[in-house]
Amino acid sequence: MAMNEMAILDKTGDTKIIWDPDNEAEVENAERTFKDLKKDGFVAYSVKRNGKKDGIIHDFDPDAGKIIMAPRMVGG
Amino acid sequence: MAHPYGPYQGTAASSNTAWDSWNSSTASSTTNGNTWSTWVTEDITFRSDEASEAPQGTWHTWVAHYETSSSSTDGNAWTHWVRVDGGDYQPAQRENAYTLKLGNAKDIPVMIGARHEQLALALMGHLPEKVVGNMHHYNREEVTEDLKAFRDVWNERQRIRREKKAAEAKARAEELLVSLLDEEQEEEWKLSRTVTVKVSDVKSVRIKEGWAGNCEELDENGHVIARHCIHPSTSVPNADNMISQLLMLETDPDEFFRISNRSVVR
Repeated sequence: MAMNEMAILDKTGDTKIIWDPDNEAEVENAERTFKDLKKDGFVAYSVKRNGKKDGIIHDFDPDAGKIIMAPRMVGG
Repeated sequence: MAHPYGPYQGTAASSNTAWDSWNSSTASSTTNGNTWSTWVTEDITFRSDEASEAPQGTWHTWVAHYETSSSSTDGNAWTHWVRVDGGDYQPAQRENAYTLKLGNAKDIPVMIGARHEQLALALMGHLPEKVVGNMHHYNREEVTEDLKAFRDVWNERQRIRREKKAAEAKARAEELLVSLLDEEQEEEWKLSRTVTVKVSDVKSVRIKEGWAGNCEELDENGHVIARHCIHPSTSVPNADNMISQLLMLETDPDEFFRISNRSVVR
């Protein structure tokens, strides 16, 4: 099974969290991070491995493939 | 291994290889052969008693002194460093001997004698101003020169570190950005450092490299008709900003236009 990845945009470029969907502990850790970031206002985008965007997701999907967590946007 | 304590700030210890609590105005002694025997302070710098070679290789007595510091030969303590009047310091020779420890600055290859270190700590904001005020009897001109040298080294290293981190973050963000582009967008990015997103049959947005006001609204003929200012609420590299704008435009353009500040281009 391919590893799944969550890229969290931050000042380092991004921080990646990788999990095996068959590994319960890894999935739990990724899901907890996902929820914490959502609480902080991050927006989650699901992206296929070929780069095609699936759109915004509101719930953690352990089989999402790739998730981009982007900080909340504000008008400048 | 860095020495586990700072030279002037007490660290309580009860094991036979560490300090009892002490500070610049108090003296404390130990009786264990692996620790210091007696401390005497009369100022903010120290040197060892000349006859400090205890049977077990540790110090007998330290006396506060302006000019010199020497070490024991015990593997857990100082090795040897002496400030020669008007000259340089010789740092400890053993790897487990004294290491300058200023937060994350422990890798700075600057060994500073006791009085300079005290000032360096003050300079870096680690000690209260009143400590600096006690240094009136030192040669201020000399100390100032030494501290300037220390500060120059420190600032240069911090600058290099910041630039390195920023370059790494930029490269990392750009790599992620490219991974999200289709072939046409990737080609555009390589040529002009911009990414264009088609949001309707008659409207596109060209995202330019930058942070604010970097999104140009284009009409069906490719003319710029407005600029949009929208960016993440936290500091990220520019390419991450572009990723956020790109994803929003491709998945939720209405929200993008609702949040952004639009300036019409005439």
